[in-house]
Amino acid sequence: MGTQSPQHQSPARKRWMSILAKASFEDLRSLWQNLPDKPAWTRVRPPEIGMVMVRGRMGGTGNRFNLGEMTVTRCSVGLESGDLGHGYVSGRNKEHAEIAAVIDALMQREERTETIEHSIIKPLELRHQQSRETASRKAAATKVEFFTVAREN
Amino acid sequence: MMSTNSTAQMLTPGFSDPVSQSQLVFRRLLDAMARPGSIETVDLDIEGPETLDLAATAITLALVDFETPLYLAPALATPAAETYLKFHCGTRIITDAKDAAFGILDGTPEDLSTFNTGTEEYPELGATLIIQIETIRTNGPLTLTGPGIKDSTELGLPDVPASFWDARTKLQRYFPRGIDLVFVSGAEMVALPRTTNVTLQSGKE
Repeated sequence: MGTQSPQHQSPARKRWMSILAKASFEDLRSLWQNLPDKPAWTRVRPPEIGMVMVRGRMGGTGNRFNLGEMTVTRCSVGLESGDLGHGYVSGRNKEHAEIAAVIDALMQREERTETIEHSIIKPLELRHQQSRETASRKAAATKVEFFTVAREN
Repeated sequence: MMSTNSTAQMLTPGFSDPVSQSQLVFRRLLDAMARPGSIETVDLDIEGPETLDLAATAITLALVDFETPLYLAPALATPAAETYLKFHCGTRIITDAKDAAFGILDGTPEDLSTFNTGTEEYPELGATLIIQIETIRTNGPLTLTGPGIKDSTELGLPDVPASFWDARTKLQRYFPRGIDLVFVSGAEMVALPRTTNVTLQSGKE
């Protein structure tokens, strides 16, 4: 963003931004509603919907190509303490983007980082891992082994 | 931690309703450009950077984006103003006036030729300058004629030196190349596109 110190472009921030973006809105909202003493915030940039171009590389190594556009909603909020939080989520759920932005801002307040990590970020990460594992297991269960065909390797 | 906090505290919201507010500002500017010398007011409540007038902030938020490099006069280019404009407009703030599509100036420039006047083939590439001044009056020593003005109209910009009008008149020889001007004071603005002829009435100022 250019407005952030290098400290806040840290891997730790990348991790929680990613978890907030991937979380299902219902999970995020219920955890958010259970959070005690929520801060007051102002919308520095109200939630807005836009498009981003998703690019890929064939096999992760080939030439970059444009895969297609996807909808993204973003929001930026400022806390009274002056901390600035950004939320970027896929889809068009403005509330999701706003809650993600407020949590991002809170995570930058050192005295809140620990509690938010335990009450929101960690549970969301676990749920995301679980759903991934379930999906992988379901996919693995349907794997077909062609015993009659000799494997080339 | 401190540096981030101070940066963030300086960052205030832009348009609260981007669609209708940017259209409102665009309409005001369009009216100002279509009727040179008429004073238009941007009746919006925006808490922009301290160094920028409301009208200058509003025009910039409405028009400037990542494709339009912006020049800020050194007196206006505080960290707060730069952070605000970079964040809300997504623009590049440049220090070389020649490359600017838009410029925000603190009073008239000493040398207009430092700005881009476009080319014969693409005269629309000429810069638009937003010039912050103290006072805009409808009665004054300036007589305006040209497209958008029936007969002539009067304008008073007491903060603008006579030498600036001479320089501008010289630049008009290169039409269609040229520079468009918007003078702003607080929430008020008055536009002088490159087609408007300005004459300083003798005997006054």
